[in-house]
Amino acid sequence: MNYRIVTNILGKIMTLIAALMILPVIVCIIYKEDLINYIAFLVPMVALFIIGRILNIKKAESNRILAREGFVIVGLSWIILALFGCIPYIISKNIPNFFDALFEMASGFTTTGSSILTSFDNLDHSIMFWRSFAHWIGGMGVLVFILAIIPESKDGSAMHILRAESPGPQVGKLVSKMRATSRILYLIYLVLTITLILILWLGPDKKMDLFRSMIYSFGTAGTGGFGIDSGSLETFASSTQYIIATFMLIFAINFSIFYLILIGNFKEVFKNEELRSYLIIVFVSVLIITLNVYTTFKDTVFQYTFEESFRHAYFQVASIISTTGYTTVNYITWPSTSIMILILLTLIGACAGSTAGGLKVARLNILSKSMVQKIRNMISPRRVETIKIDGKSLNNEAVRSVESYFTLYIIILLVCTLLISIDGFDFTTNFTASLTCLNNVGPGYSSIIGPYGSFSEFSWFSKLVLTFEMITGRLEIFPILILFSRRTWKKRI
Amino acid sequence: MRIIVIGDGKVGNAIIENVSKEGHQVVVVDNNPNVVEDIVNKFDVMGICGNGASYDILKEAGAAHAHVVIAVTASDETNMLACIIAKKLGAKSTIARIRNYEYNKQIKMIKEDFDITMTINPEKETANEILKVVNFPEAIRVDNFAEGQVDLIELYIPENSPLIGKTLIDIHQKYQVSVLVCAVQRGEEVYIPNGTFTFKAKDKIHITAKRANIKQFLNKLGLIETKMKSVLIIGGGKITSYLGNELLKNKYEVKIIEKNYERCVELSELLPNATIINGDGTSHDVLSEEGLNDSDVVISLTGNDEENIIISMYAFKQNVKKIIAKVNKESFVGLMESIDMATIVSPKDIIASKIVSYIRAKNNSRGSNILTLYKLVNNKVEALEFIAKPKSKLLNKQLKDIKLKDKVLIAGIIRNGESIIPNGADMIQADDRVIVVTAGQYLDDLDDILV
Repeated sequence: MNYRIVTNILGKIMTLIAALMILPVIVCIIYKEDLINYIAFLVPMVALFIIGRILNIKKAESNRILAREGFVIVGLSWIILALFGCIPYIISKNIPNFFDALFEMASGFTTTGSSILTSFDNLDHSIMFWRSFAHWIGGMGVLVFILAIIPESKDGSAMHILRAESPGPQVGKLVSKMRATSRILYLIYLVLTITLILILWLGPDKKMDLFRSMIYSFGTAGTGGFGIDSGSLETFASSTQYIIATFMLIFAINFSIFYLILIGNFKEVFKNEELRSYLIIVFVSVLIITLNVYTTFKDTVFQYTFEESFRHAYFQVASIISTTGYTTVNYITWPSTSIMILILLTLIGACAGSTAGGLKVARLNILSKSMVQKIRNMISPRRVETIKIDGKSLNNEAVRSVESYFTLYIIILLVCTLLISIDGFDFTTNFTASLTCLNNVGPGYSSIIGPYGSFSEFSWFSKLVLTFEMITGRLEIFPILILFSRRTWKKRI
Repeated sequence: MRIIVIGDGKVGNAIIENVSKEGHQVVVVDNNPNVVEDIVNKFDVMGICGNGASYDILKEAGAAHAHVVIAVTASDETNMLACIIAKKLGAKSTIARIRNYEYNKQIKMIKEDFDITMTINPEKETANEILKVVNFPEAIRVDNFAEGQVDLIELYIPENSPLIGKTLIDIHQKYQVSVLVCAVQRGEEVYIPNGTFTFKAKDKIHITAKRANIKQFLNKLGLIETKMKSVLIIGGGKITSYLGNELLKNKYEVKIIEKNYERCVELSELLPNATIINGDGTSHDVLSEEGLNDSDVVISLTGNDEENIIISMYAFKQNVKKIIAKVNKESFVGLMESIDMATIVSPKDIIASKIVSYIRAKNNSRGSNILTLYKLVNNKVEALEFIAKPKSKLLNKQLKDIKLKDKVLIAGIIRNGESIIPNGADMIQADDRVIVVTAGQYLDDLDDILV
């Protein structure tokens, strides 16, 4: 392990977080908040800055980052992010309990959107801003941001960092230079986010003032899901709900698709299998849920008009598959077919290379193709067949790593369900809490943790387990698991 | 600049390393996924897995907007095809590696009719490099500037040399020869020396001078060797066929030892005047039977670095005067240091510096061209030849008044065919060719040498 380069980059990240904390301080100034809020942000800022500087005093002799260093850097920096990011909550007394604050911060950075807050009335503006801004930074990734601003390294070592932080089975660059790649990604991200802020702010919905537009845009762009109104987006105008639903779907698309559109390469866009599967899944789910909800509640007190059923189905599907977690309705009262579809969407998640979490449609494609291949192989054992994605054959190594990823994913899901079951809630609560956190979605599927509920009733231990799950899910398991291996920390071999 | 490199073998790798470190946007195409994965991890480049001569892959790699496409796969035919397609797609210039002996006879027609900007032949270039050293056995390495008007020579300072303990100023006063020491390698370190620099035994020095002056200088030092006559080459690959041909033209006695019988027959057809031996060149019996001890020059060119090193060490023990070996892996070069006068050639480095000089010249928007570029001392030092444009800021100033960057030296000026080894009073004039030596500065324009 090249410890020096790890501490160097961690130091850079800490300095960056310190710099980012200037934004909530500006919010403090605008809303003329109490002195305690300034202190709440300044304390971690100064601490981060000093530690960051110290870690950068001694420069690494070799800049070489191997796969192992890449994983460790990414894993550690996300833990540091959550630990230091939660300090303002505690000092400002908005969320005084450490485990609550840690849970809330991890939920923010990993773009999960699960909250332990039951009401938003006592939150200060700066804290609300910091909570949602974490979504925006965590969505595309802190290290990708770092790669966009630090001087170009001459070798390809930064590739390991990009690969460890970006979601998806196969991570590639858009252009040949790493720094240019991260800049293009952040530029697309920034432009889309600003567009959304403007649309919401200038749109017809009077409830969307500039501050709310920003909060909900950050939540949508990072596919996070933190809001500042009880009942999430339920009380907003239908136009707002349509806009946000559409943008949630957009942010869950692989960002390389936007790049291809920008350079005018539409042929590749149409060839992309993941995008096609994703749109099909969305379309079919919306269709089924619309009909299911409309027919079930017809001629009852809860009756929806057809437009309402469509809108709620569209919004909920967009929100769950993009792993955002905003809601417009308390869907746990819905018929079980619809709920089951939403649970499946939770599991699948969106496209690789987007800001969304979950298993990813790309992996689902590979898994189902390899399954079909296995079945065909049972019928004629001598058959030779290669798995193709986007017209290119995939080597066995890639298929195997997706399969083992899936296995690990299920194991973590179940073990964590077991661990939080100690609290004594029912199965649906435990399982969907674990599921929603591992996939970075947000709300669960029982009255305790559903759209109207919160995670505050869990014990500190369960909150810690769920925090672990959120970070593990965001970084796609390996960067966190690798931290627990003794071999990782050995100097040689 | 946007550069596409097709084929990531030894030469491809060296090119990728050099151009990506100079900050260009590089896309690598290779059909082996593991190789592509490795190169992407090693350098800041984009990798595409596929056949480099296929239209779709080249399009995906962005050949339409590429400035330079370099095809260096193992197959000459693939390289040519890739260049033709890339050109049709819109690539500005294309470079193909063509190393087949037969194709090289029709190279002019290939370049013109297929519209390939440049062809490279590492084996032929390496043969030329070796030939220069065989012709000039006192030197470890010989490079030419301005069509041979100025030489850049690497010399070894033996333990009993009169140069030891002397400074550069002493030497100028004592020998009164117009030579300029532009770089010194001492162990792992490289120095760009000034007047007070003192020589030590086992230094390897690089000097620029006119050919006649160098001979005079060596004469005064007592380093002149008698002309070499017999050359023993071990390994009969492509380099050997080019080298054998040139050596025979220069009236050397050439003996070639090659393991493979079929290849021996081919060589005997190609080089009827050479003695072709079918045998294992790593066997001491074969070597002594074929007269290694009596050979003036032993050149080991087998496909295996380790074999070449072992053969060289054996030849050194047998007191062979001049030893030349092909070593491709950089990490092995150190092993050869123990053989004082050995010359190491590496086809991949020779080609890489050629490509780098081409790309730097293209990259320069100010229009002053790099004519040649050599990489010396394990690629730590560069020697470049520029043309001084009429707009250059260096013109008509005495060299001693020009403030140069650190580790940069003006090593020669060639004016109207006359070469000047400069001192502080000389001036650069328009259209001069200027030779600059630097350790670590990136130069693509003559004015870059100014602070």
